[in-house]
Amino acid sequence: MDLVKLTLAVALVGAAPAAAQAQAEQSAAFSSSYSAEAKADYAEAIAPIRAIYTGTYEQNLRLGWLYFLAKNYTAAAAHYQKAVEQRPYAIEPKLGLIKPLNALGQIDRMLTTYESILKIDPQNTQANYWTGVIFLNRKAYAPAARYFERVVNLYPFDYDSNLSLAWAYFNLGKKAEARALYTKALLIRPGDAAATAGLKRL
Amino acid sequence: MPTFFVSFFRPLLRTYAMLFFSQHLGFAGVLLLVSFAHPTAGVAGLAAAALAVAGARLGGFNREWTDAGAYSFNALLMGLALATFYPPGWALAGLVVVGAGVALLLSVALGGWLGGRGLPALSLPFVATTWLLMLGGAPLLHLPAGETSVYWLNDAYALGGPRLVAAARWVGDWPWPPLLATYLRALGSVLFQDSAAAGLLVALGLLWHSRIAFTLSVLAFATAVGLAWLNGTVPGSFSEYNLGANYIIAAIAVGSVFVIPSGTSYGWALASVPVTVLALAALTAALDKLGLPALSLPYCTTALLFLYVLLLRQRAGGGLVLTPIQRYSPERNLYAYATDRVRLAHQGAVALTLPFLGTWTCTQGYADGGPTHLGDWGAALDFAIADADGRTYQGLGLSLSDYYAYNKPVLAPADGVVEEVIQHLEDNAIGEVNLTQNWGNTVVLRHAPGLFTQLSHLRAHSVPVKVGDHVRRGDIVGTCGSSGRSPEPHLHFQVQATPYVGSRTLAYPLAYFVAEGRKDASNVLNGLFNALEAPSYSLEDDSYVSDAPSYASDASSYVSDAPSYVSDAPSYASDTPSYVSDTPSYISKTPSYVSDASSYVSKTSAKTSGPSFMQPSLAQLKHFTVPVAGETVRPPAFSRTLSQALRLPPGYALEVRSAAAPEGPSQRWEVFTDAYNLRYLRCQATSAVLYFGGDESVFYCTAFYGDESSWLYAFYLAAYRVPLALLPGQTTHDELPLSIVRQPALAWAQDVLAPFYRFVRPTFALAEAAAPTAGRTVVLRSRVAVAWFGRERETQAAELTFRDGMLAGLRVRRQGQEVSLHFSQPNA
Repeated sequence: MDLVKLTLAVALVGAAPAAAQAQAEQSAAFSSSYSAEAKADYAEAIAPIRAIYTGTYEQNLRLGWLYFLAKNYTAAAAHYQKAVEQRPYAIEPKLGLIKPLNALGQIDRMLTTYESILKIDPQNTQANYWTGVIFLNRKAYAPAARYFERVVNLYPFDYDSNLSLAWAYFNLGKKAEARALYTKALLIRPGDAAATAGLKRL
Repeated sequence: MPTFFVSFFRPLLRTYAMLFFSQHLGFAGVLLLVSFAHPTAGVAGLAAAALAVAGARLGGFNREWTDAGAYSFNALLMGLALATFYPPGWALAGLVVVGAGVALLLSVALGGWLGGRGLPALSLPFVATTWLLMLGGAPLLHLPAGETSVYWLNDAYALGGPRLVAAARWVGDWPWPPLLATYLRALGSVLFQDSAAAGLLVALGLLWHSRIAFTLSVLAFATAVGLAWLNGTVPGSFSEYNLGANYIIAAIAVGSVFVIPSGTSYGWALASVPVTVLALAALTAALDKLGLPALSLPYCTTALLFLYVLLLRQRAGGGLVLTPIQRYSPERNLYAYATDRVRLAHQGAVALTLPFLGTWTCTQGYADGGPTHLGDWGAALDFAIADADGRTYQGLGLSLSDYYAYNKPVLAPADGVVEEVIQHLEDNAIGEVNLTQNWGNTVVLRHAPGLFTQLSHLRAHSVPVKVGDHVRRGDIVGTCGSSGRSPEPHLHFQVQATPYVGSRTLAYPLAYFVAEGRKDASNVLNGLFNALEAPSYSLEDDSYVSDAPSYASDASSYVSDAPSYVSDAPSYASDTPSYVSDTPSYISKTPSYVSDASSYVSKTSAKTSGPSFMQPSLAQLKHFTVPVAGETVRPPAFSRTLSQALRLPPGYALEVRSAAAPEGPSQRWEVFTDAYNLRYLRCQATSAVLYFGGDESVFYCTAFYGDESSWLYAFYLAAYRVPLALLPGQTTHDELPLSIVRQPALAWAQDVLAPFYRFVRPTFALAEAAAPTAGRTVVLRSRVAVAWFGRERETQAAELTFRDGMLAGLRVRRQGQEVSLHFSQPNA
């Protein structure tokens, strides 16, 4: 045991100047990557990160984003996934992962990702709303309604969640509730076509 | 306070249980608790139910229904529903108050209107009231509909802050398997609760109340989900309210509440599911135009349809029997029906007794191979008197007066009116028959519309009555002769549905008689009976013989053709019309229950398996069965002590004391009659009630309600069936309802299987303790045991002492404890 500690201490003392240099290189690489991204030259933005890539959380997150912009969704998802594993409590990489998954059409993985967010942050509006949308698209109106209800309770005057919840309620036969929500959606956006159509259907 | 509780809070609590057709107070408590999972709904429901109970009491409506919660559960539903539609406030409170009144009025009115047709009002008053309030009341009060259930997290936060929200979400987010969650939510939604946890409580409560209803709820749910799956519907898109309040409740109602649970009733319940699906779709489409929800209307329409068609059947049975007396528990309904079907099959029937005095031998029974009772004329009996050698005459037997039976009085078997008299035909010489006047001198008596008896081969000019005379049971209507197709004096007795001489026969049992064993019928008559008594054309058609059972099914049409006959039993028919209409089986299927009846008739143990020829078996008292050929029968001589002690007329009372504490407090048991003229013993100390019945020949208990640790319950088990004739060595057997079984695991397992298979049998046996002791003391010992899979456990052993025409003592051993009771008359 002592031997291990000793070796570690020696390594750290010896590595200190090297670490300072690596820090400077990483800052420069990120800086040039941002400049390239601003010009929408994503290949150029990826290159410096790749050059200094050691697999840190920050590098994975950055690469995930840049590969997503470069439309290399598989690589993007892979880097985001690494970031998710590195910071399992973080919501940031999970929300990032959603984007390439959506582009790849991997709805099941999107759903599990949203669910993993909600385990950590049950109030997360975005996760709640989009989970509801996924269930709505699957015609699973009962669970969809439960997710939309959370959003509507947090943001009672939000157009999208009101309209989505109204549609879920309508399909569950809760007509009175659906009517109330469509009416509310019309208050938010007077004359809104979707809400008017919904009211007509009732 | 206790009185107030009983008269107000108990009906209020039962209102909750009534949502699942129950009176189980524990289940009711669970439902009350669950209703408060949505606090506003809970308050509104409770207030509406309380108002309805109070209104029903003040309004003087049927007390029995009020106390059962039958007038208030619609108000409860209305309160629950309104609070989930509209936000809390004065406007909602006003709606609930008005709605409770309207729901009560509609419950009474619809209950009366449909009740007259033998149908329940179900939740129709709730649907109508809620529509009325939604269409009329809410717009007047400017109530915005449909918002309250959406903002449940905000409501929870307002009520209990972040902790309540966290708790609500923790419960709400429990990771139930999706289908289980849907089932639970469906049950919860009957109480307008949108939570699987609430549904879990309801499910557990339902299981506590009834294993059969619970099983049906799962089956109906599975069927509905299966149908939806076939239809391509995704599980998440079920409307939980419709699953619960429509499909599940309809299946429970149709399969176990209003119909006696059976394999067929389960099929009937599952058949109701697709019909409810259709009704729901159609009603929703139609009502959408009016902006109204279908609520539980689809369930009501399906259940009423499925029950009404059963009521309109000409031939009842087939596993679908309408519940005769609603006991608000599928198990109790089933067990009571199963036992009563055997025990009380004859209740309400006209009791026929032997049409003679003394001991006679049945020389020819029902289509049992006898020479003359064939085909449609098969259900007839011949009687003659035989001596110890089996001979029917003394001396040479060449003259009529040599025959023991000749000129013996023939009696009316029951009260009635003389319908037909033929008495001008001369008696035949021995061995000769009159082929032209087959029946000879005959009296036909009418006992009830469609119920006649015919007594034939009477002696010429021996009939003292004339057409139109009223006769009582036991009146002499003639003497035994040998007129008509009769080679020697004997009596021909048959029951028939039409008044004509020689009508085809009706299988109909005798209410009671003592059978003294069998003699070989052919031996008795020495082969003299070769001349045939039945109309000659019956011989030409062999099918008559092979068709013998057909008269049984014919008989059923007789019952449905003559419903007025049933009304002759007023106490019974007015009480339970459905029971009567559903159980003509006791007439149409006489042969089957005759054999059933043997399970409770007195048996002489160990003697029954001996040879039939001149079997020296002990006498046994038989009830509602038919003598068989060779059986020697006589009217029973009843024990005066027993008859007097167990007559128990209304107003009769007994003072009961424990022998261990003769100076201690006594209980008073008093006999009353209920609205249906049924008698019961009521213990004033424990309020327990014991229903009983019987006739001249037997006393039996029919039902017990109340505390099962009471003394009255011990008496119920001890005197479950007491024959009033004492015959040496006879043991009386009977079957108790399964509801007396007190081992929970065993009872619950049996409950689940009960509609299909019964493996637990509670049995009752009673015998005289010893030869009659000095004086007029009769001691009877009875034993109740529960048998299953070859095991047997004694539930109770008892000794009943009767002295000087009174119940004097009862000693009971139950669960290792022994109780000894003394009885006295309060005024003595």
